[in-house]
Amino acid sequence: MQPLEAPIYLIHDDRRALRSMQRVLRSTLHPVVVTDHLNGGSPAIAVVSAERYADVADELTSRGITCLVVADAPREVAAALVEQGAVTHLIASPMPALHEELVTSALKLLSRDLFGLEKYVAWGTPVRELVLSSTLDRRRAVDELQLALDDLGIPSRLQRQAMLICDELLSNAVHNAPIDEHGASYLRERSRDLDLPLHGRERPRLRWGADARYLAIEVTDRYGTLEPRDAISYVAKSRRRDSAVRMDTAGAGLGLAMAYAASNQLVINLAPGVSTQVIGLIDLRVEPQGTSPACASFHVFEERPHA
Amino acid sequence: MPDHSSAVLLETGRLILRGRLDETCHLSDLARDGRIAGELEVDLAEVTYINSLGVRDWVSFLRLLRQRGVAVTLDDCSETMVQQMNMIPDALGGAGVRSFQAPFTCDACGWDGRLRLDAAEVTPVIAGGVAPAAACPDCASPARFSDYLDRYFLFLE
Repeated sequence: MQPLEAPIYLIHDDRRALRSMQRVLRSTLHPVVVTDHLNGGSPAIAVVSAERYADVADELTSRGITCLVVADAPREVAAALVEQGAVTHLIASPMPALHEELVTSALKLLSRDLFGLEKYVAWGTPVRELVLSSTLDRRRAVDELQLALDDLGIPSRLQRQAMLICDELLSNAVHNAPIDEHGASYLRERSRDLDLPLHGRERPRLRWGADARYLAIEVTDRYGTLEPRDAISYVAKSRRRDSAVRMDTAGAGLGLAMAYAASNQLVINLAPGVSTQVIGLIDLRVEPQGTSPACASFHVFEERPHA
Repeated sequence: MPDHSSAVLLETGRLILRGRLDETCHLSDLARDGRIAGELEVDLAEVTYINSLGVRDWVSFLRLLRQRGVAVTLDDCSETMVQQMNMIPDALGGAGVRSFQAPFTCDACGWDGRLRLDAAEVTPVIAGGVAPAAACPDCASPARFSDYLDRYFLFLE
């Protein structure tokens, strides 16, 4: 007999959506419990609709239960959750991407195996890699990405989105991530057009790959200094049309917000003090028309010590 | 190779920007040097890319001109500029928009590209919740606006 896995709690008012999500989540081999509230139970994770999230948010937070919020609700509800910085995982993709994202995110949380773009693209997808050795390598990396995407026949609109994600994530990894032994961010205020050599831990890594569904752009630093609450607050900024541009610092304070706005899904993997990895995913199947999705999906995964 | 030109061409009362707007462009220096006065028309048709530092430089450029009483009109704004103006209202900075580009697709012949729209003509159409109409430049069939109607035109509000 296999040991009984902790259940996944599923809280959603729409019966049809419940059934399809229940089926998808069973593939994790964890029992899926459809319920109206937590009732003091101890699920491995909870999956909650955006409409029901307010009912259970306090209990989830106080008990440290990780929650995947599914934003198939009215668009205003999902958008408000992002603007308030209220959630760490928001699944906003339409079907069929919703199911792909739901099962991938649940498996990452259950297995505690968080890092790598391979979790989002088909098995065997070629992945290219570049390690930056100077600050201006960022521009060379963006150029190389554009040329490669052009060769693949990716439309120019999506090329621009990918370049922006790559540029902004690398800029953060080069200038904001490194700290000295006193915790000071010594490259943060250096001008972004200076060419400075990068050494050892300072060198971020860019990886990217594309299958028929997603183009994934991954940037990893070796410091792990991004705080989850800061990441969520930057993402929230992209939803508020009053986003202020910082004029008195070397960076504009918009990088992560712009990367989120250019992505269909933004994934942040954190190993505090060790590494921050951000993956921007562009859904190659989407043909924009009609009404826009309420917002893009985002996830902040954080490595925690095993119990 | 990718276009890095970020060219800034200043004719009398007209500025043409091309290529990438990023940390190397230094547009705000142009606003400070006193060559621009009165009215300025900025042609943005060939701006292909703008990052967060380019947005900041652009916002600073518009603010400086506004402080000096220069009336700015934006002409033929590229998709990449429209996207930033939609996300960051400061990127419009009180300037008027004469025309802009929008993506269209032709379902009859498969053409896919950008068409120039006149802001004054399309604003009432958009306000009615209808996509602007256009003809395919290849086969003259009706072309379909191929972005999100509720998001692409936010900057016109």
